[in-house]
Amino acid sequence: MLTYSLARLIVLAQTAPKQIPPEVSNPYMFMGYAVVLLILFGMIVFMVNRSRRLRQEWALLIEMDKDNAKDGNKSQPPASN
Amino acid sequence: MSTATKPALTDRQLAASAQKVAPVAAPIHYAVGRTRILNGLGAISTILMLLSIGMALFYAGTDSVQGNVQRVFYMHLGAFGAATVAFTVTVIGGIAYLITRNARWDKLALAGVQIGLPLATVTLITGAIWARPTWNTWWERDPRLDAMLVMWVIYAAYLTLRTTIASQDRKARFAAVYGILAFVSVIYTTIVSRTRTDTLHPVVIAPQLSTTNEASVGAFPVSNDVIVTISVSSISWMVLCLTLIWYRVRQENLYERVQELKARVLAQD
Repeated sequence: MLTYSLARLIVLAQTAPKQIPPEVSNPYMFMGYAVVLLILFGMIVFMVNRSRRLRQEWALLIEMDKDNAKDGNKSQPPASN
Repeated sequence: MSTATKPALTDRQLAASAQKVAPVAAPIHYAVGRTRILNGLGAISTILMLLSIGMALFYAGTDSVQGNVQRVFYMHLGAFGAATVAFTVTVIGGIAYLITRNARWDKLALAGVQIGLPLATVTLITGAIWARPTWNTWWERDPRLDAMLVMWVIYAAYLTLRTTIASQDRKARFAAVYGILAFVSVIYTTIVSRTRTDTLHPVVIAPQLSTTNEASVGAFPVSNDVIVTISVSSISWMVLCLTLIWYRVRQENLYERVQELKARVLAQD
């Protein structure tokens, strides 16, 4: 199914109706820059969000580690701290 | 005892609970100087990217044949250059890992692909958008385009195949060798439009060679403003790429620390 869809997409792409004159090519320029900004923005948002979630998870694990220590386990804080 | 009262949490429960906890001190402490350099690079790359987009849109002259869509070229080339840098970092990380067997090099190699692949995606999509008004088609069976697509698939497979190996050492060794061999596709993609005469893809940065490519469509005269804009754009993308790779390596370090702590805490429960 995926192969068929890709093949169909390529066929459709290769049968474009007519060449675009230069004076009306502006929408393609905007489309290009929109894609660039979207992908860059997406990468940065993904990385920031992942960092935030990892830090929150770390904070929770530290709390759990402290609770475990209070409950009788003689655990030490992580070496990196 | 805690073992009787606290059931082990699943990853999803842990993530949900983590939303309610206030942040604590950073799990990894880096040298202050290095963090300042990284943050400085972040600021510089943001300014450079804004500058390069501004120059591409308002400073570089309009091409008389293609019109404004030619301005996509500055992002298209810059993203490809940055992807090449990212994949070169993967090669360096792979070679260094095979020599030293230090996992930090594997993280660097992985970060190279994780940043390089979206940049290669930018190159592919902007190329298709530029091709539609210039070549009268979004995509064409062309040596350069096919080479670029194969290169993209090879690096996408790198990320997929890594997840199929459980052993850390085997995974890192496999990824190092794969990352080094995969770079052949980057070299081929770079030189194919310079060595073959049956490709539509123009060669802009090699005027003496572009005349040998009789089939190319979309070439344009390289004036001074174009050269300056290409230079600023290429440098901006490369600085951005290296900055993102550095951030990504730090994020991978953080992930590793969280996994270590999680394993220890859950083992105690």
